This record gives sequence, C-alpha cells and structure tokens, in this order.
Amino acid sequence: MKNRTPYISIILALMFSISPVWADCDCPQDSATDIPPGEYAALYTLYTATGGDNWTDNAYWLSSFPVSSWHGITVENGHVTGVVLPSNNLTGTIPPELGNLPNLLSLMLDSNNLTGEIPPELGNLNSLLLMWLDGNNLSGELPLFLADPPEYLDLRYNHLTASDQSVLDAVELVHTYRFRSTQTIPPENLSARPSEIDGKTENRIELSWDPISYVEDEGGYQVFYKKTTDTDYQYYAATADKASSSITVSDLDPGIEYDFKVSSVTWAHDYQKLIPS
Amino acid sequence: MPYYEGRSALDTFSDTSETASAESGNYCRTFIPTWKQAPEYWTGVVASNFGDSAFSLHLAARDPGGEYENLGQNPASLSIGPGLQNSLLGCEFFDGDPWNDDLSWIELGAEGSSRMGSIFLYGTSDTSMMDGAESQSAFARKLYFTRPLDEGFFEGWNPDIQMSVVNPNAEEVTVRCILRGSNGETESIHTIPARGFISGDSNELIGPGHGIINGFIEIEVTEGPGVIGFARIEFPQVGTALGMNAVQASLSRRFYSAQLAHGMNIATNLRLVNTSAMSRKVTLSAIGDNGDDLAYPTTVEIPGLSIYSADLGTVFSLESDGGVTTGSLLVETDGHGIIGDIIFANGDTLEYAMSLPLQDRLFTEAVFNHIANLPTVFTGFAFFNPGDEPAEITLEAIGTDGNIVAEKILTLGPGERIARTLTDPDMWPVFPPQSGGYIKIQSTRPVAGQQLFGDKSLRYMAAIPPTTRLEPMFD
Repeated sequence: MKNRTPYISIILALMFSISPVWADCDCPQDSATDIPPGEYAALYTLYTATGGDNWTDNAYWLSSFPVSSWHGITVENGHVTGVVLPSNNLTGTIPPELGNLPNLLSLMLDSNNLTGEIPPELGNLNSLLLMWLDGNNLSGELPLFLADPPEYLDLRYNHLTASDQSVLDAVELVHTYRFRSTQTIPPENLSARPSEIDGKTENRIELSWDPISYVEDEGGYQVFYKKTTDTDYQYYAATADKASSSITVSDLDPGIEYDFKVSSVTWAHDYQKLIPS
Repeated sequence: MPYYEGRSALDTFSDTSETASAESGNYCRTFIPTWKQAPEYWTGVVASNFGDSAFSLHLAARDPGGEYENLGQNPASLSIGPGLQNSLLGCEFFDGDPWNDDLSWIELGAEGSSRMGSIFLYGTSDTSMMDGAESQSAFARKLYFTRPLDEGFFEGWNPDIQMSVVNPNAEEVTVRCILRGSNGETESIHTIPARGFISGDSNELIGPGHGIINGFIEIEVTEGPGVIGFARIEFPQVGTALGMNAVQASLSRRFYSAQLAHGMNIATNLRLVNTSAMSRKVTLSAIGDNGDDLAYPTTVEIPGLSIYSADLGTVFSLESDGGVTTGSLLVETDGHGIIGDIIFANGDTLEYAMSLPLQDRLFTEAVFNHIANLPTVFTGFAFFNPGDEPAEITLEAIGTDGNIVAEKILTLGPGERIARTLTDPDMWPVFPPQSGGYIKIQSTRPVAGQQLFGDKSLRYMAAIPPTTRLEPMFD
C-alpha cells in the first residue's frame, strides 16, 4: 500500500527543521489556508485533543500564519507532509482525523503522553513512510493496517498488544523483534491461594503470574486488593522488578474472601532511537 | 546508523490483570527477627490484643538451621484476652534459662485474630543500652540494610553491626547479598534453611576484606517466597545500641519523620539510599512544631544506587541559640526507589541514640504497643500532621487489665507536630505507674508518628513505629 520512495532527505529535514521566524503582523485568521480545509481540521483536532495550549512548543499553531510556519508542521505543494512533535508534552489521544492527511509522509509523536489506541484511520495514510509513536502511554490492540507497516515504525515503550499474528509478525520484523519486549502490558495467568504452613492456612495470600516480556527497564508489578464484598480496590505494594512472578499479601483479615488485580509499571527512562539514514 | 536519545518521559502503567480471588486463612503470623539472650543481654517481647476477642498466641524460637531452640518450653502457647497485652522477656515466654547464650528469631502466631500488635526491645542487663523495633508481618523478595558499615555517622565509634536475614517460610530460600558502595560492589550467595537465618557483619555476610565504602546492602531473594531482616548495631565503647529493621524498596515519593532536633549536642543524622539505577532529585524540608518552615527546603541529587548522608542541623543551617530546635522532616523525591532513616543522638557522645525508618505510609489507626511508666523509665510519642487540614488524634491508654486508664484528644493543624511524654503537664501528669498496656490511636486525618521509651537520665532511648494494618484495626 505504501509508496516507499526513499524520502530520507525529507525525513532528516523534518527532524531538524527550524521554525521560521515571522515578523508580527495582523494577518487575518483565514490567511492560514495554505492547505485544504480537511487537513486544517485534522491539525486543529490534533491541537485540541492533545492539550495544545500546554505543549512545550506550540508556536504559530492556530494562528493566522501559514500552516507551514506552525511548529513541527511541514507543508509541500499545498498539503501537510510532516507532523513532527516529539517530546512536546502532547497529552491526550491521537485523533482519528489525522487519517485525513493524505500526503503525510512523516508522523513523529514520540516521547509524549499520548493515551488510548492507535486509530485505525491512520491506515488511510497511503504515503506514510515514517511513524514514530514510541515512549507514550498508548494501549489496546494494534490496528490491522500495521500488518503492512510504514517503512520506519517505532511503537516501543507503550502498552500495546497485538493478537493478530500477521500484525505481530510485521511489527516485530520492523522492530528487529523488540516490539513485545518493550510493551508494559498486564501480566497474565494471575492466580491466588492462601499460604499454608504446618497444615495451618494463613491470613496471607500468595499471588503468582506470568511476568511480561519487557523486563529490561526498571519497573515492577503493582498489586491491588479488596474484600470481595467491597467495591474499590486498594493499593497493597509493588514488586521490586518486572522479572518477579509472585508476591505474598500479608496482614489480611482472617477467613475473608479477597479479590486481587495486578498491573505492570515501567518507570520513566531514557533509551536510544535509531535514526534512519 | 546514528542514534538519538529517546525518552519515555512518564511512568508507564498497564491496565490491570484479570481478577484472582482467594479466601484468607485463620492463622496470623508475625515475626521478631532477632532474639538475643546472654548473661549480659535481654530481649523483651510484647504482644497486644487490640481486638474484641481472645486468641491463642503461639511462639516458637528458631535457631539458624530452622530448628527449635532448646528451651524449657518451645514452642510455647498462651491466651491473650481481648484488650490485653503481654510483655515478657523471651526466656520467660519459653521458660528458658536467662543465663544461656542464644541467638535466634521468634515466630508469633495467633489463631483466628489479626488484631495483634507486637514489638521487641533488646538491651543490656545493666540497661546501659536499649533499642527495639516493631515485629514484621510481611516478608519481601528485596530488602535493604541502610547502614551496614563503620562509616559516616558511626565513624570513630567502632560499632559492632550484626545483620540477620531470616527465612520465615517452610521452604529454603536463596539470597544474593550485594554490598554496593561508591567504590564498587561485591556480593555473595547464601541458602537459608526453612525457618532458619544467617547473621553476621558485612565481612561475614558478603566476604572478608571487601573494602567497600559509602555502602548499603541489598538482599535479593532469588529462590523462595521472601525474607525479613534486622540490624543490631552496638557501640560498646559508648554503651548505646540501635535496632533497625531491614526495609523494603519503596515506590513512595514522600517520606516523613516526626523527629528532627538540633541543639544542645542533639544531632539528627539522615541517611537516604537511592535503590534505583536512575538518579533522583530529593527535596528535604524542615518543618517546625507550629507548621512553619524552619529553613528553606534543600534539594540534593542522589546518583543511582548511591547513598546520601547528612546532619540535618548542618543541611538546614539550624541555629540553636542555646536551646533545642525541634520539628519534622519531609522528604520528597522525583522518582521511586528512595528509602531512608534517621538517627537521633547526642552528637558528641552518641548517648541515647535511637533510629527510625522514614515513614512512607501515614496512618489514621494505630497502636503503640507498650507503656513503660516507672520511676526511671518514661514513655513518649510524637505525631506530625503533613496534611492540609487539621487532624484530631484520639489517644486511649490501656492499662494492664485491659481497661482505659487515660484518654486525650490532640488537635494538630496543618504541618504541626507534637512530642510529649505521657506524664507531661498537658497530657496525663498523674498517669499510673505501669509496665504493660498499650495506646490506641485514631486520627481524623493521616499522620506520621512513633513512640519513645527512655531512661529518665537519658542513658538510652528507643523509638518504635506503631503497629498499623491494611484493614480497619478497631471494631
């Protein structure tokens, strides 16, 4: 589906582009019409859906300046070809309207705080060559269009899952088999049983689970408990690392049915990214 | 191919797993990690029943191999009625000979009730030194000894630092003991039998001649459910002692101490350990008893797997003006993995040294497990309200017969702290003499705090955190 023309020079230009400096002027709002209305609407939605007012750099966004002057946006031949906003404090969900940027070559939203799923509408981006969404809090199933992924794809360091084998195979191949091993997903096969000692059943319950594949960076498993008759879970404790596969919950009221849940956590960390060349 | 640095800027949390359920059993165990007895030593064990029904208490003292110590009655059992407390020397519980040399640990188990609080105190027969700690109910797969070496605040006092790692489980465990310091790290592997323990100084636990400085010890369980730990630190030339439970890694980013004092030779030494591999910025705030800042907060950066140790009077440039400046300490970090403790002592002589872990969980219900109000011994307490709203703290002192002997409601405004002995004029100046009983605490807002025992001539003092529970404590 993809036009795999090697736009390497364009990518590099996008990555290191410098926003032009414009003199103050009283340009009318409708002067920002250097792109089609649908593309303008997509960028507007991106801004509002990800807290644009609080971005680290939102220079010229939604102003009357040409869209090509907005921080991180590249326009060529009257169409948006680059959305380059890494490490810019984008907080919220990726709007499906980004699928309305038909000429988009490069989507770089890595190292932000994006949540929710990757919208399947991004599969409409037939020209997309590069999609970097790593280092966010994206969750849910990978959309099926990623069975034929962009040439440069980075989805590491989220909590995404891929149950479709063709999608999983494709993204693992792109990531040199480092997709699953970088996703902070819930542990599986959680089980609970009261500990027994000398034939006596204790007021402590042993939890065990299958640890996730991603054990490399610091983190652990957070354990939550509640009496079955209660509504809200309470935090109990966390393991010291992600290789752990068990914990013993102590100090419980005796003879009571308890429910438990476990989540995985990876602490903020630095990592290396490869720049295609 | 060139690289650039990516950043997962925020902690990443997954959704939760599916639910698993189980019914808890009726046998409630807690552990006293060290029982030292010798002609010149004693260890006292306190068990209180703050529930509404009696329970049978079972005690067992175990040797390093996990076998019962050879004592008159081991294991031993007794009944503790509702509201009552039992405090005896370890040898009295087990009908043992107080003149025998024994080093063991004690398991306490209660049938059908988890409303049990327990602490232990150890000292010398001439009561020249004493300290203690709370019993431990939870074991962990990773534990830390924060002060395993003769350095820093201990330098020049020739401490004897004996650390115990106890396996309270019915299966053997394997542990890695890693001594991490500013000049490197070294480790050793130990297998601890079921219900056994290992004990020794850093040379015995890690290996002789390790040469590590500015260090802390990490205990990692590589096989088995978990362990508990305790450090017994004695200063023979001074005649003082510290007892410090090994602590688990913490995910908290705020820590509290209701004890900070400076002036008239009193020193408060803080030691923080960054158990994370990432560097952490830590902000220290000294808050006066009235809730006002004693000084500007100070921020320090602690590299990964490193320690920070400082005298808080120096850190905050506290002036004593011939008196004592008192207050609370608030420690805030920009990431997980910080643990720590304070030692409070005469900075010139190390007399009355006492230690306290930094508290990372506040409480609204708690029990101070023992009252000692005798001609030579006092009991005190301190509370710190770090919240934004006033806390109303109700104290009920329970006598040895289980009845309330005194009540008091204290109100602490935001940031305020109070420290009192039981017989202070604005507390209970005619408090009955007793050695036994306990204090129930209920607060309308979360607070930090601990109790104190001391000799009135200030030869020794012991600071012990209260018993708290996951579940409501009082019916």
